[in-house]
Amino acid sequence: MPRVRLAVLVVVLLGIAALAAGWLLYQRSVRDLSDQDPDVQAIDTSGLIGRPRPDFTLPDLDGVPRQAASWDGSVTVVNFWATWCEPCRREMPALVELQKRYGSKGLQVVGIALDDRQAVRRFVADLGTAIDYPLLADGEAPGIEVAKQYGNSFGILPYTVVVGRDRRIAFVQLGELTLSQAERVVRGLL
Amino acid sequence: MPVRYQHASCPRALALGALLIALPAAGLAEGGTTVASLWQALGFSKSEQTFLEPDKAFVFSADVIDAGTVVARWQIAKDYYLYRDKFSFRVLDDAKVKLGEPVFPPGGAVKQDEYFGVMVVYFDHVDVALPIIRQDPAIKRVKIEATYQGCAEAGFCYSPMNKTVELDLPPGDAVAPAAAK
Repeated sequence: MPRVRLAVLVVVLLGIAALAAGWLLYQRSVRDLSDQDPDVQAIDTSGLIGRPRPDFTLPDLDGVPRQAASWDGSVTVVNFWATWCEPCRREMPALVELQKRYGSKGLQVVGIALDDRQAVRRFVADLGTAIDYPLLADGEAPGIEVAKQYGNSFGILPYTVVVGRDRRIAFVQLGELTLSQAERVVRGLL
Repeated sequence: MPVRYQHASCPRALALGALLIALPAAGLAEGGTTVASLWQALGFSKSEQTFLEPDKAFVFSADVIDAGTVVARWQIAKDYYLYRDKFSFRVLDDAKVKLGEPVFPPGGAVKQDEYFGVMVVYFDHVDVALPIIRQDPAIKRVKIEATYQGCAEAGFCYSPMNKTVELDLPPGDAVAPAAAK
């Protein structure tokens, strides 16, 4: 008898949990669609997923022009950053590690600095740690322009776009990206 | 002992059961990835982070306070900040008006940047006084471009932003800049 009662209790609780989850999700979708605070603009990057990656040509730190197409066929992690952006610098070790772990499997990280090339060169020299992926920089304006083409109209940094082997945008991250998050994304694409 | 074990495992069993039921419910409600949806709905996801539009994060305005001074003002959203060293100002379209050294308010908060060292930042609001140096007293209008850069405590930054403002200057032969207040 106590077992039966326990079973009933479990079923009732499960029902309540399911209803609560459904209600939470409903509230969330309602809030997202119609009740958004007009002062808070959430950037919707979902429209970018599946789109072909935009083209760009930017010089690397030696001044050699590099084209987006040169990494086609790889899973490309395009990371927008700047030396003056503290959260960008904080996520760099994760990107270095990502390149190290998955480079041989066809992953390529590309860093686009919204920064002066000399500033980036100085930063890399001072860093003391090797950054084993290409860093491109041609001043603020060209970097901002490419970031915009990649969906970052607000100029938020860091900003990362993952392009699949099919040259289509597979993932977008506004703000800092963690290694585990990046790994989850790229493993599904490699 | 068995009783204790049963008690201890019960909440876990219930939690698991609830999750098993709730996950498909989450999928039905949103038609998306179930685990992520539920996680976000429960408020655990980092993707709940809000990114303010730059013009909402840093609301710019400017006005003339006397014949020789324009004040550039920013109203800054909570937990957002602007770097003192990243402000720059210039006059557009007129060689006969110049700006003196911007006067920043004393104080500000200090951020210790690992790479750049100590950085002064402004939270909440900042007013920057810009001395106007008119080389021709007949000039009655000035167009100023302000550049600024800031970040959010949540862990992201904005690329440098620009605003242009055109202001009527009061009459006066002010050649020397007025003292900033």
